[in-house]
Amino acid sequence: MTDTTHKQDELRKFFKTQLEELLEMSDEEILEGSDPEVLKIEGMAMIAAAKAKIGGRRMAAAKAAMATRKVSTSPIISTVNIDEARAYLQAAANDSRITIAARSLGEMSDADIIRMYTQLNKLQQDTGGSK
Amino acid sequence: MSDETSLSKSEVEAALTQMSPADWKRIKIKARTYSKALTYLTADDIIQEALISLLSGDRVWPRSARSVIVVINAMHSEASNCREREQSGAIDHRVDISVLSQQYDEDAGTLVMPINEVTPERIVESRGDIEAIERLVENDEELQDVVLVWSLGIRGKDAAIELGWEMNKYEAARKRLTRLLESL
Repeated sequence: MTDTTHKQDELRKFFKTQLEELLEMSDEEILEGSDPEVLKIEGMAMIAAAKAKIGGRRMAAAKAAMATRKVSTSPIISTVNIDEARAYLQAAANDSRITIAARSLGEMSDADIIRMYTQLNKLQQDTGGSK
Repeated sequence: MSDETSLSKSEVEAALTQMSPADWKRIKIKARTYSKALTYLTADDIIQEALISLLSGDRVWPRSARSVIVVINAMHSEASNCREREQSGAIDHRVDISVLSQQYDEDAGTLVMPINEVTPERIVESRGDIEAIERLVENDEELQDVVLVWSLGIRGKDAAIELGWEMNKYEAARKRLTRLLESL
């Protein structure tokens, strides 16, 4: 056994022995110098905080899933003119930062043009760019 | 969902709610010990992560187990797992970074500056071996002796005999060590 492993093994034994001693000590001895009411209230607060965090994590996961679904499946409702959208994407296809096959724009349906326009426009807004 | 061997989520919450003040204090003392010896998580973080794992059902609560032991075992797992992530992860959790440049340069990457608020002493303290505990009692010979026998797995009457102490002397030292660990 290396020195490091030996010292880690000693710590594990210390933890185990400490727990056994804490369980063996009477409640009176454990509580000495503490207010039981305060301990109970703190315990309830920790349970409430943990439940809130579980709820928060669940909501965050649900929101992320909803955002993904919105981008990929929701119908695009747009007030943009289809010709303006095609022109916008045509211009974007010439922007070196964006990869759009210009030749495919002519083959895309109006709905796909509007969807791509909306996504690209949102992406540029999110990254601080502007239309 | 509950079964014959484990508690349901509502049963877990009920079991936690019914825990005695003394058991909450036992939990606090253990959390502080784990925090000092194992990880950079605070004692409150360790307790909260353990409660989250139990209340969410991620961690099974054996039906016949004593509540305080289930919670302490969960805390030990959380602290140990966190320690493993700290040691083996690509990211050093002891170091916060500050982004110096808002412009991302593909060739150069993003410039960052480490902000290390964890002192070298703290890194040595929580490296996960018995020295982390020994360092806490370096000015108290009696407590050093108690740490020594506990690290050998000897406790209670056997520990008093091993140390050549009367039982009341051992109990007084045990109480002092417990208070010290509680105050961390």
